[in-house]
Amino acid sequence: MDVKSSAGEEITLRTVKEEHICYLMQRYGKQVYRLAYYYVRDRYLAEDIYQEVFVRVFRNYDKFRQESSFYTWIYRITVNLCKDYLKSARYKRIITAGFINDDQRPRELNRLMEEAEGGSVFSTVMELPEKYRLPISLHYLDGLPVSEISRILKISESSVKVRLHRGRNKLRELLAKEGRV
Amino acid sequence: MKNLDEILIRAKKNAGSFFSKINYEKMNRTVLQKISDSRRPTLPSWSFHLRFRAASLLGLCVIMIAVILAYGISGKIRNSSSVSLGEPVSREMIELDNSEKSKWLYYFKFSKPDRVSNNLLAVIWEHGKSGNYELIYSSVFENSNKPCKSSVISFPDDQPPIFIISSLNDDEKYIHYRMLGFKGNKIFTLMEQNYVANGKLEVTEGVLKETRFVPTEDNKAAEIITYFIPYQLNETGDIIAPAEKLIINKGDHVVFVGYENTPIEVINNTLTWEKESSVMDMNENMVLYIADKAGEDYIYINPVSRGEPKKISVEIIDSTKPSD
Repeated sequence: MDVKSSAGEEITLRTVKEEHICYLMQRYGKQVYRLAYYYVRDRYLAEDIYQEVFVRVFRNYDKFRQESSFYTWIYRITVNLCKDYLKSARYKRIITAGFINDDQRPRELNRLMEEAEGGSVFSTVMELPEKYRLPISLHYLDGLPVSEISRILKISESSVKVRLHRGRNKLRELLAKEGRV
Repeated sequence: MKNLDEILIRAKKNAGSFFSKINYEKMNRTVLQKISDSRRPTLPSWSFHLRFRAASLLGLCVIMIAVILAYGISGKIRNSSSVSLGEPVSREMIELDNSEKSKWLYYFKFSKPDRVSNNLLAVIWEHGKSGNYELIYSSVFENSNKPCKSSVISFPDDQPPIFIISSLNDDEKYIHYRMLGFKGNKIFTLMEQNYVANGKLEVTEGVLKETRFVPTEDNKAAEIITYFIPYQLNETGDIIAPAEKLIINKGDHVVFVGYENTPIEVINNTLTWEKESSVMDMNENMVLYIADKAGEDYIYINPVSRGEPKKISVEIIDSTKPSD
Protein backbone atom coordinates (compact mmCIF):
# COMPACT_ATOMS: atom_id res chain seq x y z
CA MET A 1 0.00 0.00 0.00
CA ASP A 2 1.19 3.40 -0.92
CA VAL A 3 1.85 5.46 2.17
CA LYS A 4 2.78 8.75 0.56
CA SER A 5 0.89 12.06 0.38
CA SER A 6 1.12 14.54 3.23
CA ALA A 7 1.76 11.80 5.74
CA GLY A 8 4.42 10.08 3.69
CA GLU A 9 6.31 13.09 2.48
CA GLU A 10 9.66 13.22 4.21
CA ILE A 11 11.02 16.56 5.30
CA THR A 12 14.17 17.63 3.53
CA LEU A 13 16.70 18.84 6.02
CA ARG A 14 17.76 22.45 5.56
CA THR A 15 19.40 24.67 8.07
CA VAL A 16 17.10 26.56 10.38
CA LYS A 17 18.50 29.81 9.05
CA GLU A 18 17.80 28.95 5.41
CA GLU A 19 14.26 27.87 6.22
CA HIS A 20 13.71 31.13 8.04
CA ILE A 21 15.15 33.19 5.17
CA CYS A 22 12.72 31.43 2.79
CA TYR A 23 9.89 32.31 5.13
CA LEU A 24 11.02 35.93 5.47
CA MET A 25 11.29 36.28 1.68
CA GLN A 26 7.76 34.93 1.29
CA ARG A 27 6.42 37.20 3.99
CA TYR A 28 8.28 40.48 3.41
CA GLY A 29 9.78 40.09 -0.07
CA LYS A 30 7.14 42.08 -1.91
CA GLN A 31 7.37 45.04 0.47
CA VAL A 32 11.18 44.99 0.25
CA TYR A 33 11.09 45.04 -3.54
CA ARG A 34 8.59 47.88 -3.65
CA LEU A 35 10.59 49.97 -1.19
CA ALA A 36 13.80 49.39 -3.16
CA TYR A 37 12.02 50.33 -6.37
CA TYR A 38 10.70 53.57 -4.86
CA TYR A 39 14.30 54.51 -4.11
CA VAL A 40 16.10 53.47 -7.29
CA ARG A 41 13.20 53.45 -9.82
CA ASP A 42 14.77 50.69 -11.85
CA ARG A 43 13.46 47.16 -11.72
CA TYR A 44 16.86 45.53 -12.27
CA LEU A 45 18.60 47.62 -9.63
CA ALA A 46 15.70 46.90 -7.29
CA GLU A 47 16.20 43.18 -7.95
CA ASP A 48 19.90 43.49 -7.03
CA ILE A 49 19.01 45.31 -3.83
CA TYR A 50 16.30 42.75 -2.98
CA GLN A 51 18.82 39.92 -3.26
CA GLU A 52 21.47 41.80 -1.29
CA VAL A 53 18.93 42.55 1.48
CA PHE A 54 18.16 38.88 2.10
CA VAL A 55 21.80 37.82 1.79
CA ARG A 56 22.56 40.41 4.51
CA VAL A 57 19.64 39.18 6.59
CA PHE A 58 21.18 35.70 6.36
CA ARG A 59 24.67 36.93 7.28
CA ASN A 60 23.44 38.99 10.23
CA TYR A 61 20.75 36.57 11.33
CA ASP A 62 22.60 35.55 14.49
CA LYS A 63 23.04 39.18 15.51
CA PHE A 64 19.32 39.83 15.37
CA ARG A 65 17.95 39.61 18.90
CA GLN A 66 14.32 40.59 18.27
CA GLU A 67 14.69 44.01 19.86
CA SER A 68 12.60 45.16 16.92
CA SER A 69 10.38 43.02 14.72
CA PHE A 70 11.83 41.23 11.69
CA TYR A 71 9.67 43.52 9.59
CA THR A 72 11.29 46.72 10.91
CA TRP A 73 14.76 45.18 10.82
CA ILE A 74 14.46 44.08 7.18
CA TYR A 75 12.98 47.43 6.16
CA ARG A 76 15.91 49.22 7.80
CA ILE A 77 18.42 47.04 5.94
CA THR A 78 16.61 47.87 2.69
CA VAL A 79 16.64 51.61 3.35
CA ASN A 80 20.35 51.57 4.27
CA LEU A 81 21.26 49.53 1.20
CA CYS A 82 19.28 51.82 -1.09
CA LYS A 83 20.95 54.90 0.37
CA ASP A 84 24.38 53.29 0.05
CA TYR A 85 23.59 52.33 -3.49
CA LEU A 86 22.49 55.83 -4.49
CA LYS A 87 25.75 57.19 -3.06
CA SER A 88 27.85 54.48 -4.68
CA ALA A 89 30.33 54.92 -7.50
CA ARG A 90 28.47 52.40 -9.64
CA TYR A 91 25.29 54.42 -9.52
CA LYS A 92 27.17 57.66 -10.19
CA ARG A 93 28.89 56.05 -13.20
CA ILE A 94 25.47 55.25 -14.61
CA ILE A 95 24.46 58.91 -14.22
CA THR A 96 27.66 60.32 -15.76
CA ALA A 97 27.42 57.82 -18.62
CA GLY A 98 24.13 59.47 -19.47
CA PHE A 99 21.79 56.60 -18.70
CA ILE A 100 20.11 58.77 -16.13
CA ASN A 101 19.74 62.41 -16.94
CA ASP A 102 19.71 63.63 -13.38
CA ASP A 103 19.13 62.12 -9.98
CA GLN A 104 15.45 62.93 -10.11
CA ARG A 105 14.67 60.89 -13.24
CA PRO A 106 14.80 57.16 -13.85
CA ARG A 107 16.61 55.71 -16.83
CA GLU A 108 14.66 56.86 -19.87
CA LEU A 109 14.34 53.50 -21.59
CA ASN A 110 13.37 51.81 -18.36
CA ARG A 111 10.87 54.54 -17.64
CA LEU A 112 9.19 54.22 -21.04
CA MET A 113 8.91 50.45 -20.66
CA GLU A 114 7.61 50.68 -17.12
CA GLU A 115 5.22 53.45 -18.01
CA ALA A 116 3.61 51.13 -20.51
CA GLU A 117 3.42 48.33 -17.94
CA GLY A 118 2.58 50.25 -14.82
CA GLY A 119 0.63 53.20 -16.13
CA SER A 120 1.57 56.83 -16.61
CA VAL A 121 0.17 58.03 -13.26
CA PHE A 122 2.50 55.67 -11.40
CA SER A 123 5.40 56.97 -13.50
CA THR A 124 4.53 60.56 -12.59
CA VAL A 125 4.62 59.63 -8.88
CA MET A 126 8.04 58.09 -9.51
CA GLU A 127 9.24 61.39 -10.96
CA LEU A 128 8.82 63.16 -7.62
CA PRO A 129 12.06 64.01 -5.78
CA GLU A 130 13.14 61.24 -3.39
CA LYS A 131 12.24 63.32 -0.33
CA TYR A 132 8.56 63.30 -1.36
CA ARG A 133 8.49 60.17 -3.51
CA LEU A 134 9.16 57.82 -0.60
CA PRO A 135 6.44 59.05 1.80
CA ILE A 136 3.91 59.47 -1.03
CA SER A 137 4.58 55.96 -2.40
CA LEU A 138 4.59 54.24 0.97
CA HIS A 139 1.42 56.03 2.08
CA TYR A 140 -0.70 56.15 -1.07
CA LEU A 141 0.60 53.16 -3.04
CA ASP A 142 1.43 50.73 -0.21
CA GLY A 143 -1.17 52.00 2.26
CA LEU A 144 1.25 52.36 5.20
CA PRO A 145 0.22 54.64 8.07
CA VAL A 146 2.25 57.76 8.95
CA SER A 147 3.65 56.10 12.11
CA GLU A 148 5.03 53.17 10.09
CA ILE A 149 6.60 55.47 7.48
CA SER A 150 8.20 57.47 10.28
CA ARG A 151 9.84 54.27 11.63
CA ILE A 152 11.03 53.10 8.21
CA LEU A 153 12.51 56.41 7.10
CA LYS A 154 13.68 57.33 10.61
CA ILE A 155 12.06 60.76 10.52
CA SER A 156 9.43 62.20 12.86
CA GLU A 157 5.72 61.70 12.18
CA SER A 158 5.28 65.46 11.72
CA SER A 159 8.04 65.44 9.08
CA VAL A 160 6.23 62.62 7.28
CA LYS A 161 3.01 64.67 7.32
CA VAL A 162 4.81 67.77 5.99
CA ARG A 163 6.44 65.73 3.21
CA LEU A 164 3.11 64.14 2.31
CA HIS A 165 1.51 67.58 2.06
CA ARG A 166 4.35 69.08 0.01
CA GLY A 167 4.63 65.91 -2.06
CA ARG A 168 0.97 66.18 -3.00
CA ASN A 169 1.48 69.79 -4.07
CA LYS A 170 4.52 68.81 -6.12
CA LEU A 171 2.60 65.95 -7.71
CA ARG A 172 -0.26 68.29 -8.57
CA GLU A 173 2.25 70.59 -10.30
CA LEU A 174 3.67 67.72 -12.35
CA LEU A 175 0.20 66.49 -13.29
CA ALA A 176 -0.88 70.04 -14.20
CA LYS A 177 2.09 70.31 -16.57
CA GLU A 178 0.84 67.15 -18.25
CA GLY A 179 -2.68 68.58 -18.28
CA ARG A 180 -4.13 65.90 -16.03
CA VAL A 181 -5.47 68.08 -13.17
CA MET B 1 -8.18 67.99 -4.27
CA LYS B 2 -10.64 65.20 -4.89
CA ASN B 3 -9.23 64.91 -8.37
CA LEU B 4 -5.74 64.28 -6.99
CA ASP B 5 -7.05 61.61 -4.60
CA GLU B 6 -8.71 59.86 -7.51
CA ILE B 7 -5.43 60.02 -9.43
CA LEU B 8 -3.57 58.53 -6.46
CA ILE B 9 -6.07 55.67 -6.28
CA ARG B 10 -5.39 55.05 -9.98
CA ALA B 11 -1.63 55.20 -9.28
CA LYS B 12 -2.10 52.56 -6.56
CA LYS B 13 -3.81 50.27 -9.08
CA ASN B 14 -1.04 50.97 -11.64
CA ALA B 15 1.59 50.12 -9.02
CA GLY B 16 -0.22 46.90 -8.07
CA SER B 17 -0.33 45.81 -11.68
CA PHE B 18 3.32 46.76 -12.25
CA PHE B 19 4.65 44.93 -9.19
CA SER B 20 2.52 41.85 -9.85
CA LYS B 21 4.73 41.12 -12.87
CA ILE B 22 7.89 40.82 -10.78
CA ASN B 23 9.26 37.29 -10.59
CA TYR B 24 9.86 36.94 -6.85
CA GLU B 25 10.41 33.19 -7.07
CA LYS B 26 13.38 33.69 -9.37
CA MET B 27 14.90 36.30 -7.04
CA ASN B 28 14.37 34.02 -4.04
CA ARG B 29 16.17 31.19 -5.83
CA THR B 30 19.08 33.54 -6.59
CA VAL B 31 19.27 34.56 -2.93
CA LEU B 32 19.42 30.92 -1.82
CA GLN B 33 22.07 30.23 -4.46
CA LYS B 34 24.15 33.16 -3.20
CA ILE B 35 23.79 31.93 0.37
CA SER B 36 24.86 28.48 -0.70
CA ASP B 37 27.82 29.84 -2.73
CA SER B 38 28.97 31.95 0.20
CA ARG B 39 29.76 28.75 2.10
CA ARG B 40 31.98 27.21 -0.58
CA PRO B 41 35.27 29.12 -0.05
CA THR B 42 35.66 27.45 3.34
CA LEU B 43 35.91 24.00 1.73
CA PRO B 44 39.71 23.70 1.17
CA SER B 45 40.61 24.25 4.82
CA TRP B 46 37.61 22.16 5.72
CA SER B 47 38.97 19.06 4.03
CA PHE B 48 42.14 19.27 6.15
CA HIS B 49 40.10 19.68 9.31
CA LEU B 50 37.83 16.88 8.17
CA ARG B 51 40.70 14.43 7.91
CA PHE B 52 42.03 15.56 11.26
CA ARG B 53 38.60 15.31 12.86
CA ALA B 54 37.90 11.90 11.30
CA ALA B 55 41.09 10.55 12.84
CA SER B 56 40.20 12.10 16.22
CA LEU B 57 36.65 10.79 16.02
CA LEU B 58 37.81 7.30 15.20
CA GLY B 59 40.03 7.31 18.26
CA LEU B 60 37.22 8.71 20.39
CA CYS B 61 34.77 6.07 19.11
CA VAL B 62 37.17 3.25 20.01
CA ILE B 63 37.47 4.64 23.55
CA MET B 64 33.68 5.16 23.85
CA ILE B 65 32.86 1.64 22.62
CA ALA B 66 35.32 0.21 25.11
CA VAL B 67 33.77 2.29 27.94
CA ILE B 68 30.19 1.43 26.93
CA LEU B 69 30.98 -2.27 26.69
CA ALA B 70 32.71 -2.25 30.04
CA TYR B 71 29.81 -0.44 31.73
CA GLY B 72 27.11 -2.25 29.75
CA ILE B 73 28.40 -5.72 30.61
CA SER B 74 28.55 -4.88 34.28
CA GLY B 75 24.99 -3.49 34.06
CA LYS B 76 25.98 -0.08 35.26
CA ILE B 77 24.17 1.95 32.57
CA ARG B 78 21.04 2.77 34.48
CA ASN B 79 21.19 6.49 34.93
CA SER B 80 19.96 8.15 31.75
CA SER B 81 20.14 11.71 33.04
CA SER B 82 23.29 12.43 31.08
CA VAL B 83 21.91 11.06 27.78
CA SER B 84 21.26 13.78 25.21
CA LEU B 85 18.81 13.54 22.32
CA GLY B 86 21.29 15.46 20.21
CA GLU B 87 20.57 16.87 16.77
CA PRO B 88 17.03 16.83 15.41
CA VAL B 89 16.30 14.57 12.44
CA SER B 90 14.06 17.21 10.89
CA ARG B 91 13.07 20.84 11.34
CA GLU B 92 10.18 22.74 9.92
CA MET B 93 8.94 26.28 10.45
CA ILE B 94 5.23 26.50 11.21
CA GLU B 95 2.87 29.44 11.45
CA LEU B 96 0.17 28.88 14.05
CA ASP B 97 -0.88 32.49 14.47
CA ASN B 98 -0.11 35.91 13.06
CA SER B 99 2.39 36.83 15.76
CA GLU B 100 5.95 37.85 15.01
CA LYS B 101 7.22 34.95 17.12
CA SER B 102 8.47 32.19 14.88
CA LYS B 103 7.71 28.57 15.76
CA TRP B 104 9.70 25.50 14.82
CA LEU B 105 8.68 21.88 14.74
CA TYR B 106 11.62 19.58 15.53
CA TYR B 107 11.72 15.80 15.57
CA PHE B 108 14.30 13.97 17.64
CA LYS B 109 15.03 10.27 17.42
CA PHE B 110 15.41 8.23 20.60
CA SER B 111 15.53 4.56 21.56
CA LYS B 112 13.63 2.49 24.06
CA PRO B 113 15.61 0.68 26.77
CA ASP B 114 15.88 -2.32 24.41
CA ARG B 115 17.74 0.00 22.03
CA VAL B 116 16.10 -1.71 19.10
CA SER B 117 13.02 0.28 18.21
CA ASN B 118 13.07 3.83 16.93
CA ASN B 119 10.86 6.48 18.46
CA LEU B 120 10.38 10.10 17.62
CA LEU B 121 9.87 13.03 19.92
CA ALA B 122 8.07 15.97 18.27
CA VAL B 123 8.83 19.33 19.87
CA ILE B 124 7.49 22.77 18.99
CA TRP B 125 9.75 25.68 19.94
CA GLU B 126 8.77 29.30 20.00
CA HIS B 127 11.38 31.97 19.38
CA GLY B 128 10.45 34.42 22.12
CA LYS B 129 11.00 38.18 22.45
CA SER B 130 14.01 37.56 24.68
CA GLY B 131 15.72 35.74 21.81
CA ASN B 132 15.50 32.38 23.56
CA TYR B 133 13.65 29.33 22.32
CA GLU B 134 10.86 28.10 24.58
CA LEU B 135 9.30 24.66 24.38
CA ILE B 136 5.55 25.03 23.88
CA TYR B 137 4.54 21.50 22.86
CA SER B 138 5.93 17.97 22.79
CA SER B 139 4.61 14.54 21.90
CA VAL B 140 6.08 11.06 21.50
CA PHE B 141 5.54 9.02 18.33
CA GLU B 142 6.29 5.46 19.34
CA ASN B 143 7.96 3.04 16.93
CA SER B 144 8.27 5.57 14.13
CA ASN B 145 11.26 6.24 11.96
CA LYS B 146 10.20 9.08 9.65
CA PRO B 147 8.78 12.50 10.50
CA CYS B 148 6.31 13.77 7.92
CA LYS B 149 5.68 17.29 6.73
CA SER B 150 2.93 19.02 8.69
CA SER B 151 -0.44 19.88 7.13
CA VAL B 152 -2.58 22.92 7.82
CA ILE B 153 -6.33 23.45 7.85
CA SER B 154 -6.97 27.17 7.42
CA PHE B 155 -10.01 28.82 8.96
CA PRO B 156 -11.94 31.86 7.75
CA ASP B 157 -12.51 35.03 9.81
CA ASP B 158 -8.95 35.27 11.18
CA GLN B 159 -9.41 32.16 13.30
CA PRO B 160 -6.10 30.38 13.96
CA PRO B 161 -5.37 27.37 11.74
CA ILE B 162 -5.38 23.74 12.85
CA PHE B 163 -2.15 21.78 12.39
CA ILE B 164 -1.62 18.11 11.74
CA ILE B 165 1.74 16.64 12.60
CA SER B 166 2.49 13.03 11.76
CA SER B 167 5.12 10.33 11.58
CA LEU B 168 5.53 7.14 9.61
CA ASN B 169 6.91 3.68 10.16
CA ASP B 170 7.77 2.72 6.62
CA ASP B 171 8.59 -0.91 7.47
CA GLU B 172 5.35 -1.65 9.23
CA LYS B 173 3.35 0.81 7.11
CA TYR B 174 1.53 2.71 9.79
CA ILE B 175 1.31 6.34 10.82
CA HIS B 176 0.69 8.28 14.00
CA TYR B 177 -0.70 11.78 13.94
CA ARG B 178 -1.92 14.65 16.13
CA MET B 179 -4.41 17.40 15.33
CA LEU B 180 -3.27 20.57 17.10
CA GLY B 181 -5.12 23.78 17.86
CA PHE B 182 -3.78 27.12 19.02
CA LYS B 183 -5.47 29.50 21.43
CA GLY B 184 -4.24 32.09 23.90
CA ASN B 185 -0.58 31.43 23.01
CA LYS B 186 -1.02 27.77 23.89
CA ILE B 187 -1.06 24.66 21.76
CA PHE B 188 -3.60 21.98 22.60
CA THR B 189 -4.25 18.53 21.16
CA LEU B 190 -7.69 18.24 19.60
CA MET B 191 -7.27 14.56 18.89
CA GLU B 192 -4.60 11.95 18.21
CA GLN B 193 -4.48 8.65 16.36
CA ASN B 194 -1.79 6.00 16.69
CA TYR B 195 -0.83 2.93 14.66
CA VAL B 196 -3.10 3.80 11.73
CA ALA B 197 -2.49 0.86 9.40
CA ASN B 198 -1.59 1.87 5.85
CA GLY B 199 -2.55 5.35 6.95
CA LYS B 200 -2.80 8.16 4.49
CA LEU B 201 -3.65 11.79 5.32
CA GLU B 202 -4.80 14.55 3.03
CA VAL B 203 -6.25 17.98 3.67
CA THR B 204 -8.94 18.55 1.10
CA GLU B 205 -11.63 21.25 0.90
CA GLY B 206 -10.93 22.30 4.48
CA VAL B 207 -11.28 18.85 6.02
CA LEU B 208 -8.77 16.16 6.97
CA LYS B 209 -9.30 12.95 5.01
CA GLU B 210 -7.83 9.86 6.65
CA THR B 211 -7.60 6.51 4.91
CA ARG B 212 -6.80 3.39 6.94
CA PHE B 213 -7.08 -0.35 6.66
CA VAL B 214 -8.84 -2.40 9.34
CA PRO B 215 -8.87 -6.20 9.57
CA THR B 216 -12.15 -7.95 8.75
CA GLU B 217 -13.52 -11.19 10.20
CA ASP B 218 -12.46 -13.20 7.15
CA ASN B 219 -8.83 -12.13 7.69
CA LYS B 220 -8.91 -9.58 4.93
CA ALA B 221 -8.58 -5.83 5.15
CA ALA B 222 -11.20 -3.17 4.59
CA GLU B 223 -10.41 0.42 3.66
CA ILE B 224 -12.10 3.01 5.88
CA ILE B 225 -12.22 6.65 4.91
CA THR B 226 -12.86 9.22 7.63
CA TYR B 227 -13.39 12.94 7.17
CA PHE B 228 -12.42 15.02 10.19
CA ILE B 229 -14.13 18.42 10.33
CA PRO B 230 -12.64 20.69 13.00
CA TYR B 231 -14.60 23.71 14.19
CA GLN B 232 -13.98 26.64 16.52
CA LEU B 233 -15.91 29.35 18.34
CA ASN B 234 -15.09 32.94 17.45
CA GLU B 235 -15.14 35.88 19.88
CA THR B 236 -18.89 36.42 19.48
CA GLY B 237 -19.68 32.75 20.04
CA ASP B 238 -20.35 31.80 16.40
CA ILE B 239 -19.30 28.36 15.19
CA ILE B 240 -16.59 28.64 12.52
CA ALA B 241 -15.69 25.65 10.34
CA PRO B 242 -13.29 25.46 7.40
CA ALA B 243 -15.71 23.51 5.16
CA GLU B 244 -19.01 24.46 3.50
CA LYS B 245 -19.74 21.31 1.53
CA LEU B 246 -18.66 17.70 1.76
CA ILE B 247 -19.02 15.05 -0.94
CA ILE B 248 -18.48 11.55 0.43
CA ASN B 249 -19.28 7.93 -0.32
CA LYS B 250 -21.79 5.75 1.46
CA GLY B 251 -20.00 3.98 4.30
CA ASP B 252 -17.50 6.80 4.94
CA HIS B 253 -17.07 8.13 8.46
CA VAL B 254 -17.45 11.80 9.40
CA VAL B 255 -16.01 13.10 12.67
CA PHE B 256 -16.61 16.59 14.04
CA VAL B 257 -13.76 17.75 16.23
CA GLY B 258 -14.30 20.72 18.50
CA TYR B 259 -15.87 21.02 21.92
CA GLU B 260 -17.55 18.61 24.30
CA ASN B 261 -21.39 18.58 24.33
CA THR B 262 -21.81 20.69 21.18
CA PRO B 263 -25.23 19.89 19.68
CA ILE B 264 -24.98 18.62 16.11
CA GLU B 265 -28.11 18.19 13.97
CA VAL B 266 -28.43 16.08 10.84
CA ILE B 267 -31.57 17.16 8.95
CA ASN B 268 -32.34 14.20 6.64
CA ASN B 269 -30.78 11.42 8.74
CA THR B 270 -28.52 10.13 6.00
CA LEU B 271 -25.74 10.11 8.59
CA THR B 272 -26.09 7.98 11.71
CA TRP B 273 -24.56 8.99 15.00
CA GLU B 274 -22.27 6.39 16.59
CA LYS B 275 -21.46 6.62 20.25
CA GLU B 276 -18.23 4.64 19.97
CA SER B 277 -15.84 3.63 17.24
CA SER B 278 -14.29 0.24 16.67
CA VAL B 279 -11.88 1.83 14.19
CA MET B 280 -10.29 4.86 15.81
CA ASP B 281 -9.41 6.41 19.16
CA MET B 282 -12.20 8.75 20.26
CA ASN B 283 -12.20 11.51 22.86
CA GLU B 284 -14.87 13.79 24.36
CA ASN B 285 -14.29 16.47 21.70
CA MET B 286 -15.10 14.11 18.83
CA VAL B 287 -18.55 13.18 17.45
CA LEU B 288 -18.73 10.33 14.94
CA TYR B 289 -21.27 9.80 12.17
CA ILE B 290 -21.40 7.08 9.51
CA ALA B 291 -22.87 7.80 6.07
CA ASP B 292 -25.61 5.16 5.89
CA LYS B 293 -27.82 6.39 3.08
CA ALA B 294 -27.12 8.05 -0.24
CA GLY B 295 -28.59 11.52 -0.74
CA GLU B 296 -28.23 15.15 0.20
CA ASP B 297 -28.20 16.37 3.76
CA TYR B 298 -27.46 19.36 5.94
CA ILE B 299 -25.57 19.38 9.17
CA TYR B 300 -25.88 22.17 11.72
CA ILE B 301 -23.20 22.59 14.37
CA ASN B 302 -24.97 24.64 17.05
CA PRO B 303 -23.22 26.69 19.71
CA VAL B 304 -24.15 25.85 23.30
CA SER B 305 -24.79 29.48 24.21
CA ARG B 306 -25.43 32.54 22.03
CA GLY B 307 -23.94 32.68 18.54
CA GLU B 308 -24.56 31.57 15.00
CA PRO B 309 -24.60 27.86 14.06
CA LYS B 310 -22.55 26.53 11.14
CA LYS B 311 -24.37 24.81 8.29
CA ILE B 312 -22.48 22.25 6.19
CA SER B 313 -24.12 20.56 3.22
CA VAL B 314 -23.28 16.91 2.60
CA GLU B 315 -23.75 14.83 -0.53
CA ILE B 316 -23.53 11.08 -0.03
CA ILE B 317 -22.91 9.02 -3.15
CA ASP B 318 -23.61 5.30 -3.40
CA SER B 319 -20.68 4.22 -5.56
CA THR B 320 -21.92 0.59 -5.66
CA LYS B 321 -24.98 1.64 -7.68
CA PRO B 322 -24.40 2.00 -11.41
CA SER B 323 -24.92 5.56 -12.58
CA ASP B 324 -27.55 6.32 -15.20
